[in-house]
Amino acid sequence: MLRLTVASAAALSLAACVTPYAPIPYDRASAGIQTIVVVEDSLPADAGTQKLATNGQNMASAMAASAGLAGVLVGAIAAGVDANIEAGQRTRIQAALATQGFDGEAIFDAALESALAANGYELGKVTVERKNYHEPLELEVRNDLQPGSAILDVAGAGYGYQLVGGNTQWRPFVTVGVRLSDPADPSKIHLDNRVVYNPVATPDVIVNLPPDPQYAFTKIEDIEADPAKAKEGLEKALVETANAVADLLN
Amino acid sequence: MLRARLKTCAAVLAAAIILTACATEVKVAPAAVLDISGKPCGEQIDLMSAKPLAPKKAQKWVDVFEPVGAETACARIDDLLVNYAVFELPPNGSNHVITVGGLKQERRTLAPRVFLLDFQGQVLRSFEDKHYKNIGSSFAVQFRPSEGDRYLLVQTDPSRVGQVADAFEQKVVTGSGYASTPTGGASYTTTSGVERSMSRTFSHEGIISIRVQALSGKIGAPAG
Repeated sequence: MLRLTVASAAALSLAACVTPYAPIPYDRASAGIQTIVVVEDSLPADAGTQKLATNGQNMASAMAASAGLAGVLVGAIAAGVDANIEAGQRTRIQAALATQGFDGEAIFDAALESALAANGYELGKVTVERKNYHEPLELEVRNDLQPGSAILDVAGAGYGYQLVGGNTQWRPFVTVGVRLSDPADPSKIHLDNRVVYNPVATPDVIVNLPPDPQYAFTKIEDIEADPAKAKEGLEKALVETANAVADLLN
Repeated sequence: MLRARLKTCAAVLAAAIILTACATEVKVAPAAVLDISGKPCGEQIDLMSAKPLAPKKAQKWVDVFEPVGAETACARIDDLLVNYAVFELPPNGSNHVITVGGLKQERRTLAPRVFLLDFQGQVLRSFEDKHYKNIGSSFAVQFRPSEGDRYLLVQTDPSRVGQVADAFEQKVVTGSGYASTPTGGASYTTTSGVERSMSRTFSHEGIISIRVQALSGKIGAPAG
């Protein structure tokens, strides 16, 4: 218990030294925006996996501590084996979802556009080349959009199924970054935030959504045995996340 | 001699029992408080009790946790009793982001209702239900103050008190260990996953959580 407390205290002191992410909340009343132009390509094409607190990670840490250089090598092998296992599991989950015709980006985009329209916005689309999904786009000045427009960039850092180690189960997760900016002056940010479905940590200023507990699988074999349920669980996660993004603009 | 040994044994045993009793003491997480009808309350919000949100030492961000309980301020508003706390916003409000709400405790969450007031205590802005979200470990709203906003008022929301929010949570728990080696030893970190269903009731008592962040410079500074 004491060790846990010390570890937590150390983590807290470390966290205290780091300037945390600062969101920019949207104020619809003062923003004067009627049209949301959504950047296409919001999510990676395929669902992914996220494994935390695995035996391999713990082994790597313990080995590195207990046996110096030899431990680092053995630990690295343990972590590598773990990564290979996860890559295999990811492929199997993607194959299971593919049997259901699952298209994560299409599900997310449809839900987002529907929710934005329900909130009273006119909608448009724009195509911008995206180098990665972990940070917002660097947009160029655009003067071809009508006044009252803003560009919405949703960068899906990840979605799929996650396992957080111990006696937990595979459950859906989604993580997206959201930025709404002025097309004529992209440095003018109307909104910047992040939404996480099923977070394993709850950073202090980020919107988070609890998962639906019914979508849980003990083993990859269970996902393969019921791919329709796996699809349904991830679809629900994506729709709820899209709705939460639209809520930020309400 | 035998009597002395018995006395010593008895003393050791008594100490062990006391220690065991201390070690096994279970702390019960506070339950939601749904009724404050017996509490003596004022008829209006006391702005003189406002606590400054700007820290004494200039810094980029600050967290404030304000307990709300039986001994803290309350008022009768629209014929309903509410607990409340009032805070003085930092100058140059629009250069800040404020996340404010009720902190999620083990069994309860303070039911927050947030208002922005001018220097006379008149309400300039409030937030509809749709603006309250799960933000970090709180049920909260997030906003940038306007230049006319002087005070932040957080009062409990009688219409939400008593509602139950169920949520499933997955977490990573971190621990540490120490491994002896021929050259001395080293510490290592292990992590493990936990998942659980939580049920929290909105309450008149609990903890108000506030994070104040400056968008540029330090808290209180104008936008750069």
